[in-house]
Amino acid sequence: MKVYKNFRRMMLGISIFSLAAIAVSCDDDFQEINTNPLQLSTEKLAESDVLLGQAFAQATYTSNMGLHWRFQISQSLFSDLWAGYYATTYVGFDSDRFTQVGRWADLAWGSFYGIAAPQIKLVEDLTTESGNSVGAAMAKVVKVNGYSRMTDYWGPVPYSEFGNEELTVPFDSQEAMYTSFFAELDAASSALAAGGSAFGGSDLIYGGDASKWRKLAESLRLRLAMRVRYANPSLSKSQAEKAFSSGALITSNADNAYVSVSNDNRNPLETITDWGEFRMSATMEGILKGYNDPRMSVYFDPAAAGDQDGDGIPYEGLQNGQTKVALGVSQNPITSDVNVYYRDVAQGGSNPPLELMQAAEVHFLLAEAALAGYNVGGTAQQYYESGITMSMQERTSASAGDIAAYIASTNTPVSFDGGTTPASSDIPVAFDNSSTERGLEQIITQKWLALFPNGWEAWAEARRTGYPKQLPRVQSDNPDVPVDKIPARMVYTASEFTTNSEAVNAAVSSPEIGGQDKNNTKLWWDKK
Amino acid sequence: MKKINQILVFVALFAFSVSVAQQKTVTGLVNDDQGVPLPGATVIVVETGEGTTTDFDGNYSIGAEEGQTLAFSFVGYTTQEVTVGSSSSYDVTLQAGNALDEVVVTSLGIQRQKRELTYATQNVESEGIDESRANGNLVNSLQGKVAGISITTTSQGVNSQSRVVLRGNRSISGSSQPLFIVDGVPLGGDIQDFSPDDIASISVLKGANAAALYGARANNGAIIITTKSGKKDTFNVNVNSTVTFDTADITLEFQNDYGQGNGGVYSGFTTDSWGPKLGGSVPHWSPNPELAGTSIPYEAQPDNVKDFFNTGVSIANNISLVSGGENMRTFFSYTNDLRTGIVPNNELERHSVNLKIDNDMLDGKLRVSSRVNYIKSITNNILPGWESYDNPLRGVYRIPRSVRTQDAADFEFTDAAGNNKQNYWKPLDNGNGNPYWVINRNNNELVGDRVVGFASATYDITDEVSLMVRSAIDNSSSNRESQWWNDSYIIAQNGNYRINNGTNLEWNNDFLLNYNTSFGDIDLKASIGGNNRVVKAESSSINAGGLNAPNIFALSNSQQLTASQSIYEKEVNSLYAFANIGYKNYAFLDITYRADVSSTLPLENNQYDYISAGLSAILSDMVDLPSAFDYFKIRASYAEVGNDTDPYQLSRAANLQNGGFIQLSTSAPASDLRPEKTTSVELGFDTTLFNRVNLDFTYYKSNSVDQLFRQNVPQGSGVATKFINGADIQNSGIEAAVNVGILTKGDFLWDVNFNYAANRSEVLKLAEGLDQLNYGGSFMRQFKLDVGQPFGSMYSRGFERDAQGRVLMNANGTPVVTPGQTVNVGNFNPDWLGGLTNSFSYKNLSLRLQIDMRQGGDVISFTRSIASSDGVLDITGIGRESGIRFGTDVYPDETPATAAVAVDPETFWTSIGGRNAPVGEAFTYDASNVRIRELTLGYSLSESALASSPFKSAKLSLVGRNLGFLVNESGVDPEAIFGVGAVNDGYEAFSLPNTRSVGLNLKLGF
Repeated sequence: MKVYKNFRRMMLGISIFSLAAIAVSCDDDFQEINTNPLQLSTEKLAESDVLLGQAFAQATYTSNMGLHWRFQISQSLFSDLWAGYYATTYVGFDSDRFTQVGRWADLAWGSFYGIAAPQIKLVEDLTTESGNSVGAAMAKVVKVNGYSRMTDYWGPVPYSEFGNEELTVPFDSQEAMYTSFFAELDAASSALAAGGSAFGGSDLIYGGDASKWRKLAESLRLRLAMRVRYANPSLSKSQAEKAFSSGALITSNADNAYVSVSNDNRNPLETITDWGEFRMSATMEGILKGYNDPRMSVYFDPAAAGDQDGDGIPYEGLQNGQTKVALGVSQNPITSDVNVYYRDVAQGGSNPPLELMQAAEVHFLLAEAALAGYNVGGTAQQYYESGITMSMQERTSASAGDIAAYIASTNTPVSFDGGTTPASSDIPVAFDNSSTERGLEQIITQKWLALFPNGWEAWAEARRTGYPKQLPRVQSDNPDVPVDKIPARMVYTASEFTTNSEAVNAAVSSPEIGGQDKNNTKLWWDKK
Repeated sequence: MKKINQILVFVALFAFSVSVAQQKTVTGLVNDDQGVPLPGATVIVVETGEGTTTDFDGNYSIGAEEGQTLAFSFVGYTTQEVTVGSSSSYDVTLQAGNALDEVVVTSLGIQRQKRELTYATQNVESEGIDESRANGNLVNSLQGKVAGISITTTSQGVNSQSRVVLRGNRSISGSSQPLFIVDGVPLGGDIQDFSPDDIASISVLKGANAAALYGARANNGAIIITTKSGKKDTFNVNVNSTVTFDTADITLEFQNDYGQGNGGVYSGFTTDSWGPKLGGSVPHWSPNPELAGTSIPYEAQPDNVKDFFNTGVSIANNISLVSGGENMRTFFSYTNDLRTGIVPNNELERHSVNLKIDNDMLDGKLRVSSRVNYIKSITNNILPGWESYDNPLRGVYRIPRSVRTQDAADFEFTDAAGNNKQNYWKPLDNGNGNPYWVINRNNNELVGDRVVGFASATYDITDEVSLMVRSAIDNSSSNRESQWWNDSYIIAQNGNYRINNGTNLEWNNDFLLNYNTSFGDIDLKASIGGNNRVVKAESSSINAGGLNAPNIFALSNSQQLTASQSIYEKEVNSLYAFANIGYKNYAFLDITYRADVSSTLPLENNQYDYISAGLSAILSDMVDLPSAFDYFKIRASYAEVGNDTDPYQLSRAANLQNGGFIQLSTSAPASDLRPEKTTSVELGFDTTLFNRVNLDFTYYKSNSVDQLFRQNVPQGSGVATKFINGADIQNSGIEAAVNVGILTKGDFLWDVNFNYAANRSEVLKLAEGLDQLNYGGSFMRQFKLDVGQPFGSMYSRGFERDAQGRVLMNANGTPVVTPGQTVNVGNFNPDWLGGLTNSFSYKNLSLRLQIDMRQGGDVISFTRSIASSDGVLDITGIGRESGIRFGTDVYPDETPATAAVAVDPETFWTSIGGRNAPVGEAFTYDASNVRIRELTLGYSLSESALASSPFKSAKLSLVGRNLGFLVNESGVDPEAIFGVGAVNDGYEAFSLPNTRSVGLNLKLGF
């Protein structure tokens, strides 16, 4: 063995000597060869605001689940169906029967943690390091928006330890995350209050305008404050009032937060509509038709085969949870597709920007805050009516008179199938002061209409408040979620159990999940 | 038209061929050293390769020219050569012993006697590979011919790739495929497109031991090819023509009692066959408005799957020229392949031009050789070979049982608005289509150009010292265009057009200084060499995601262009030394040493070295053995091979994306990588018994440690994968090759070859705290490595069981299944592989039958899962009226934990089959199979018959390949894969049926 070792040592010596001649001259070459000319190093990113801005653009777009198939498997197949915006006509989409298809959920998880979160962290870290306080604040707002969406889907998720580069990444409780969100928004809001700008044209929302970003930060605070209303009433009240008193809320449509899109990075909704898999839900049909809502023809198209239920109106919804046998016959011609505005450009679509937060939502949030007795400078009815007005003005060309008539209307939702199935609710448009619960149902139902097509937010609010009331599913394949309920959360993904089992198991057994990693386990804020 | 032109060229070449040499008939007697005549001894004209055997009395007769060499050989005897002079009769006495003087081409193209080798190697019977022309893929010619070689074929149709594994999978992130070496030079790719007419010999070096001198890439063994050369004082023109007919051998079985529909009700808008019992007529399924309101028969269409397939026709023509003078030898060859696949519109046109020139200068002291081989391949409509939208097979197997071929074949129509539309029984269905539409309207064309060549010079500095320098390239480029018409599912508006371009370069520069000498009984060959290897690959793709005007496939017609580009470059410099020491030509010692420096590793860690040593002894020459042993050699060797990794793994970078986005790469860098290492040990013996039995036996064990691979990490860590060093994958096993001359009686010869290999793999270690590695997966299954298990476990959904292993049942009669892919349903690793070849010859007639065997291992079938939930498979026809009971009517091997109630088959099969959440356990089959791989019947025209013709030789062969399965439980071809990565092992997804080939081959020598 010793002879072998000595021989080995001798040979290596000779070789290294010989190779050294090659290697020394090669070291630089080798380093150059081993550098991919098509990629950027992180050092280069740090040096250039333009490049960092492009990373910020990526973070903004993808944290709202951009790009077609990621959007489909993250939002269309789960929250859009469970919020009752659409029903699916495709027999293979089991999630409309409340089955959480594991691989889709895995990809949804990965779309945020793999595609969006690293860029958010990169931008926040590099801007903080370089003292770009406006850029860092903008990154924080994007971060709070992105992570709040994730926790609202799953409950406890990785947050504070994101990017630890370890084999275990602990999950934060939802309660802790919300506490942190408010603190992050405090920091962002005060940095943004100083004015200035960052990233210029690479900021896809406000072109780098700090004052507008402050409005988004405070509006987001208001949204999150109302979300924790039933779980922590005092935190909810203090944060909602803080948002209101900042005087910097998105109260006019001119300040709406929309992520601009391009031909390369399009509005994801318009990229999936070609596939013909989603149609207006029956709940949506009953509400829009009952209210004679001008948004019906803006959100949806008439069914290709015309009126089906004999009401003379060619807009037709499909009840959620159709059986496979029923979907063996094409439902597409007899139901309403999403309006051509949201469809592929080639079909006449307009590739609209991606909604993040609108004035109408802020007004409805304030309406609920007022209803809850928070000090937000107005009554529930005032904000409810101004919320409807904001939405109508934004989405439709309805005249002031039309809007006033709509607000005063006592119309209620109708049966979607000519009376066979009862209407989903008896709630009218005109504000009902008779009980706070009726008021809440009205506020959330109208917010649901205004938020369209933001199913992500609509599903969270539907879970928190129980509104709007949805028609039962035709069939549920999930024993935990009967046809007259909707799922309360997403179960954790298989990839986490494979790669991060210790942490995900700890999250499952944490008090917020209580060992019940199921679709009917209520999240921390779901306490009504 | 093109084909006709090529045939004309071929005829023209044929007409121009001339005969130049004078041939005569040489006769004689072959005796052994006791004076006993040797019947069945082989006589070969070395220059032409033509041969005959001696008759019962040891007499032979063969045509040869003056100056040519006759080689006389017989198992167990030393081969003897005689140069033909003016005489026409030569009697020969063969000396017993020294049986295996077989020459083997080893590493670096060095020819060595097999007796010297300290490791296992196997020469592949290359005779006949230019007759059978296995699927136009030279790699497939090795199937069953080498102990322990596993060759699985992708379902891409003509010009398919194959996956080759020797001695088991060993690499986690890299390839487990062997290195292909041609004329001493490694290729960048494999030899699938090489012309079998250019191949002189193929030998397989199975372990790392054999290939230590090639470094990293040969740790999976090496397949060493020597191409044909010109011959001194020769001028021969050979023509070889083959026509082959391929047919589909469909092993899936379909039900023919129920047609299109769901829930027992007819529907013209479904891919399912859960309709009512067949009979009568129903409204047409077609969305074509002209057919609205018409009826079609609702009857069994038992052949509607079979009808889809064509008889594929392959025509291969080769013309070669073997010539040589005093100082220069030339081999020139042109091969033309035209193939149509069993799937219509799947076509290949391939041209290969090969020129090899050897020059001797300065009185033979300087030898300069060069070869250039240009190959052009044009492939139309390569099949994706997996569950892809544009795989026509995905639609074929799923055709509803009542859909008539004539209706399906009418695949398009024009709608009222004048748009061209797909005529399909479920328009816009997710991920599917009318297969006739797919083959006509989802087209792709791949044009490949490849140049393989080398130039080398060897100079004898003294009698004992020579220096060789060589430069060699394998440069290929490919251009692929895909055109998908409007109304193909999931395709952008008005059609989709994509272009993918790629180039691959492998460039090796070598020097080798040789020193050969003898001192008394000791022979010494020592060499020092160096190698510089450059690998560079670039690719780019442009995707026109949606067109403005429909079905006009031009980039300028696109709505949205997406581009991507990638690059791969690395360089490795190496120095090596080796020595072979022989003692009395019966004991041999080999030592090799190699040191590499790679651009892919960190500077402080980028040099690594490895060593091998081996010993062999011809015991039969050293000591007296029982008389049964004519020859007995033992060998033992140990080898290490180091390995680097892919480029760009040392730092984290950000990618520029379309539309001005920037995204960090999702893999964490590893700045402290160490090189990988494989160590292997092998022991074996080669023996000849009773003058007629040859047996080679090898035991080996290899461990691949410190492997570099990507570990999936929690995405919350900031990256999706981390590149780490770790793992120990062990493979051990035995290989045996037996050759028995069963019978030699007069002109009748019967020879049997049997190969056997059993490999056991085990994942000994992955990394600290990691006992399972997820390799990749699909809706059907996950491919994982488990510590303590064989390489590559397949995980899928399975049945939930009680403590006794009984299956828990739902109230509705379906089994309870696991929610996730958590059940280990099997692995593909066979218990053993075998190949049995029987060769018979009688006078000018020869017959060869090769049967391949694979015992053990599992295959999971996505095809069967989806076809079951569609209600098309025969098993889904059971119990349509009465319902089925789990454990009785279906899956009779399973025992339900509670009495299974009858469930309607549609509910049952859709709950366990289908695409999105199939229960893989229910669709996993034993991959064992026995198939008739090759059957060749040849007839060589006798010289007397050729006497008045312009031909020196003529041979006609009838060749059959993959004629059918003798045993196959899976109902699919378990060796059909969809990609050459290890992750695809044992996963069948809409693969081609077994393709049965019958061909006719004519070889003419002028």
